[in-house]
Amino acid sequence: MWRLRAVQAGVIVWFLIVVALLARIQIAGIEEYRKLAEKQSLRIIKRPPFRGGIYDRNHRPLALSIPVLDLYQRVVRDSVLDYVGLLSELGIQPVDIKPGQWKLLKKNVPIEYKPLVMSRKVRGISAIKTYTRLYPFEEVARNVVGFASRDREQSLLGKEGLEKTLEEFIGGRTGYEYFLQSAVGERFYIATRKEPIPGKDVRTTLDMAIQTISYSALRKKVLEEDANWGFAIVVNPSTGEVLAMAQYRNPKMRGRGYTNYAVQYQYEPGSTVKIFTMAKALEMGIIEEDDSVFVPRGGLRIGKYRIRNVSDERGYITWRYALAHSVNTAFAKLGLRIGGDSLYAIFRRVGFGLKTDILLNGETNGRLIKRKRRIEIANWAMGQGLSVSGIQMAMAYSCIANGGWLLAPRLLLQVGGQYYNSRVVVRRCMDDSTAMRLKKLLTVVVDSGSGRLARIEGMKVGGKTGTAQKFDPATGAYSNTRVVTSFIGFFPVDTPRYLIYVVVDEPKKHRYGGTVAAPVFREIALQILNYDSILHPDNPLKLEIHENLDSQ
Amino acid sequence: MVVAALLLTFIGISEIYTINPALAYKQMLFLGVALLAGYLTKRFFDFSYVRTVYTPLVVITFALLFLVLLFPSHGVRRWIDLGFFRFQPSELTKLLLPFTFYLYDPWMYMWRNFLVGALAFLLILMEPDLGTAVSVAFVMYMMFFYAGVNIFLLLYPLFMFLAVVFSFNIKLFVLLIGVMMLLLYRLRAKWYITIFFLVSALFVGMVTPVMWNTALKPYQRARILAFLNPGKYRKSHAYQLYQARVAIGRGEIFGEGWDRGTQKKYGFLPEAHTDFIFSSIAEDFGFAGSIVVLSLYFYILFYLFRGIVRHRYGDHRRFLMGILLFYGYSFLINVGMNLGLLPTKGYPLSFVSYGGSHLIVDYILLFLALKSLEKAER
Repeated sequence: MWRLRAVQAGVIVWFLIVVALLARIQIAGIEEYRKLAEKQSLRIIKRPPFRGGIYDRNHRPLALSIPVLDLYQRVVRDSVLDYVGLLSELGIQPVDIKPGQWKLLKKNVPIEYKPLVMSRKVRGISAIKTYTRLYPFEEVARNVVGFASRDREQSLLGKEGLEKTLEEFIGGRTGYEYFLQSAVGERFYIATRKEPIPGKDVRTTLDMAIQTISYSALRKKVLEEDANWGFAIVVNPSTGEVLAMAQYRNPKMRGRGYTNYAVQYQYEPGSTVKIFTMAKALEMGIIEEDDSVFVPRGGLRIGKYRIRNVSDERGYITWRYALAHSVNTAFAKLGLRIGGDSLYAIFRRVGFGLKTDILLNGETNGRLIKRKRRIEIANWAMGQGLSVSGIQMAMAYSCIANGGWLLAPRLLLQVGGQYYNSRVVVRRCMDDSTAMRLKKLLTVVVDSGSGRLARIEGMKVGGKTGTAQKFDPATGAYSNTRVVTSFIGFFPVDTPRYLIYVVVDEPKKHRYGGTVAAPVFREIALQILNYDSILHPDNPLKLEIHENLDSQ
Repeated sequence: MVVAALLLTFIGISEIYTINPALAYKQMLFLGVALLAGYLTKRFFDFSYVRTVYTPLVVITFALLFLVLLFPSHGVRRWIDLGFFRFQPSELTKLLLPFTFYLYDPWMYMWRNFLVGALAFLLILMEPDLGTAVSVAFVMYMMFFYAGVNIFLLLYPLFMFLAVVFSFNIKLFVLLIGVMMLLLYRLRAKWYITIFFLVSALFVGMVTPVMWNTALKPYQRARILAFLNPGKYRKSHAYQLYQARVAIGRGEIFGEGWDRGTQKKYGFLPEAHTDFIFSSIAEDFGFAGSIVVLSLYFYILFYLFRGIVRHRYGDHRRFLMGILLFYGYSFLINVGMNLGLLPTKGYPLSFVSYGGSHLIVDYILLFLALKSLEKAER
């Protein structure tokens, strides 16, 4: 009988073990198992928000959001039902997934498929509405508009350009849906739900007509000259609004073409800086426009260096002539007379070496460091030995054009219902009278100096050419062949509405700003004159302006 | 006892209903068949027929077990497909073994019993249906123990089994050998028996790791490993185990309520209507419900125990013990598996789980036990 009792005892012990374990799990483990159960059935769907469009000042779209579907597989492969052959039509196949997992099968499926996916004829596939980005102007505005791409949560996120910097306005807020899901992927309880907050539309100051004009003019020139790249910035000098920022990059160049040269690239500006040397000299009263300066034959010797001129000017010339023909030796001498500290002061004042805080990513500071050596100061005076960005130079010239106000460049015009239409003054950078005198000097550059190719019949244009030698790290000296050519000018001189800065890097056929960049400026300016209703040749008001200018 | 069994079946059916109503109706049909079979057994069966019925039963059982091996149905050599339901011949061994115990005292006819059990064990193992095969082995072993077979014959397979299990850890293995030697000394084993035990244990201990790597199928290895380490294999082999745990845990004290358990309802708990029905019940009815189910089981087992104690005939006692052991094994293995105490072998919970064959056989056994108990008073 003891054997029977042993079996009985075994059963009782087992019973007690089971009860103890049940108590451990069901009474002591309540919290633990509640969490575990939740963990395996709780799912989160992220609902991407509408991304606001980016428009130019005349409401032309630069970037648009197109609603599309993302298709997810949410049940194991064998449970996917597809009676209508939708999946093969879209070229996708169900994949092996673990129960409860969601797998992104295909992005950017046209929204027309939504009723089909949601119908009972397709099961196990979820469609989540999201957006893809369309850029109607493509590479014409790519450098400034940038692009957005999907982030890890499958929401669009700006990666470059305006898409990146306007993120807070156009990005919106991702929505969420928390729900409980069965092992085979059926939703059975929606816990909480947060609708996505759509982003706002943004209107920028850009004018795509001008942008397109600039782009095509640049493209033509870059290809013609077989240059590396070129950019053109068009701003309204009296408000700081950026009207166009176009660039063309030679397809022969290697590497990724994402650099926005007008903002992200720094280079030595060359002779366009001479006007600020002049400005300082005029302010200090060292010289007058009509004073003469002696230009020695064979260039100017400073230490072991020799500064040469482009053409062999010699003897006594006026400062007006020196600026108009960009006589290097004259400005080297002037720079030495002004002195390094004063030159540094005026350069800083017009914004060199400081970010303009334009609403674009990756802006460069440029490079302006105090110098002591004579050759360095002489170089400074003619625009070598310091680096600037295109937008810095454009704003510095705007300062002359608008009578001495250094403005912040603006790209934002309107966000949703909110307008951003006041100009932002950074500082007063020169006297009105100095600015007037400089404007007249710049007019001479275009009328009879190095900028003759930028001349426009019936319109007074002020501008300055620039040809900067590029520093060649291989030889440790300035290269004679590789140059950055530029032209910066504005019109109408008296009440400037447009300031255009054209830079072409390493042209191969011609090698001066006056011959490479000035014609581009002229082409852009001519087309703008046709486009702008106030400056149009047929506008009687404009004639008045012009006549007034002539009579001065 | 019949009431307890019916209660268990009704709990089972209600639970199956929440998972798949169609299966619940089928199960009700099976219950009807089972009760009819049980009634007919009670009404017309007499223990004087056993000797007549025994030989055909042996022949049919083994013939069917062979047949199943020869003609696989649905890729698994486990069922005979009868169209409306799939008959599982291994269930017949549940009938066969108690009758064997009834006719042949395992103490006297040890080899005959052993032969029947071993043959059934091997045939079922080849299907392969490990759960049922082990049930045969378990019942045989316990029966031999109950019948009072020589203690060394019982200890030998036990120690060999433990040697297999412990052969992967040298320290445990040494400990096992020590315990074995101590026990043999205490039982005053003859020296040659001791030597035999020692040599076999060492041999098994050395051979097993080699066999592990060569003879076992990967899925079997994986299952055993999963049992040993459930957390690590959460998403694969121990998935069932893990989900059963979660289901039981979700039940808490009074359960989520009938038809409200999310684990089984939304498909996380696999096999919720058969092998893991206990977890499913535990989820719906909580600790209280599980205790009720366990108590019903306990009641059935102790009703049988009491019957054995009070029965005047030894053959009936062995017969009842055989039935009790099958029920007990079901309780032991299934609940142990649901709780993660034992590896997932796939063995139904008697009376409760979905399945025609085992339900009918369980009820026949139940009524046979009642019939036997009619003559109980001593």
